[in-house]
Amino acid sequence: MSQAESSLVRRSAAGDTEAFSALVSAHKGMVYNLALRILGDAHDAEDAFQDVFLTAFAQIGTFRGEARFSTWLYRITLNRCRRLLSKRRRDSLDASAAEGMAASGADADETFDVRTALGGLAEKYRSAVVLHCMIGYTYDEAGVIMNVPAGTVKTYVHRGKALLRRVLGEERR
Amino acid sequence: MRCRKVDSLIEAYVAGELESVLTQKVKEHLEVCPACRRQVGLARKVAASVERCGASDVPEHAMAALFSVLGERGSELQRQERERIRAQKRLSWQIAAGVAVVAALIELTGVADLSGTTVQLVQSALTPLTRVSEFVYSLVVSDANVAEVLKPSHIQALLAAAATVILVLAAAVVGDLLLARRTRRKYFRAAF
Repeated sequence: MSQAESSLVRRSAAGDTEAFSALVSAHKGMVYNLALRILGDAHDAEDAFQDVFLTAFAQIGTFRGEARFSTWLYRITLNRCRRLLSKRRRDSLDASAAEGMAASGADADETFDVRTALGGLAEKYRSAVVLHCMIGYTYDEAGVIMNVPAGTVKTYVHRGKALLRRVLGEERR
Repeated sequence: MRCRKVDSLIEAYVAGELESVLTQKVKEHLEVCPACRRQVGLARKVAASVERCGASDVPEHAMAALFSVLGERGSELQRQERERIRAQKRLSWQIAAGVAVVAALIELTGVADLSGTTVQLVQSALTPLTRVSEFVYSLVVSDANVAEVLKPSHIQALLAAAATVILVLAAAVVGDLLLARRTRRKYFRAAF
């Protein structure tokens, strides 16, 4: 963690909302897109986005700096999304959510197909694919966020992609 | 190498994560198997599409709503969290104290096999405290020489009382450390 970020975390822990706003600005895109890809719905992602940052602000005093601040934040994001998913018992996109994603700027056919298919994956495969392939975390880093070994993340990524391949293969028949 | 085996390795092959020997075997299979070549093509499309999946902008109203709530309730949220942690620590100390008291009672009464009745247990537990009280009373009231009033049972009682205090403190410290360790491990690990 950089000195600047470390200072922002310290000030946020002391209740400085302006310092925390700077942290929000630095990480808002990643948190929102992680939630959006996992939940598959823009409205749910907005709810999760607010929950994550309010939780982070409330608990920032417990952050000891043993890992990167972004890792801590994405772990909170993943846990929130899991709770939302199990609460709503939904692992695939419904029609309205698909429209929401289309409206949010999905471009070509192939990209949209992958996004739709991603919503049909089990949460663990979806999370692994999003963290490693879309956001760019290594297997080790994604493993810390998901609380599983790096080898397990690798397996999840490969299985997730294999399932996506099967879906796209069916669509092209 | 059979198609089923190659199919299970395609994602790793496309990502360049296979060992060289396996990579070579997959390549040799692909040269003669159009079906598997098609699957590799699909896998490459999936990999490219996933990486190309554009990031979406955070909606302005979501940002505005977040900052509004932070401004109104930020300090309250942190206060509630501090109170929650304090309550957890108190519970940890209470549980530790309870365990230590039970352990001390068992030690004091020597009823390791729990053969006594509840009344007998309680009476046995009070005996050392009674003796400590008698000892202190003797010293204060009679002004007697310590050696004349000090009996072995008094020493035993003092040691038992000291052991109880030490057990309570040790159990509370261990409980608190375990709780703090569990909280830290939940959110982050020193992986990098």
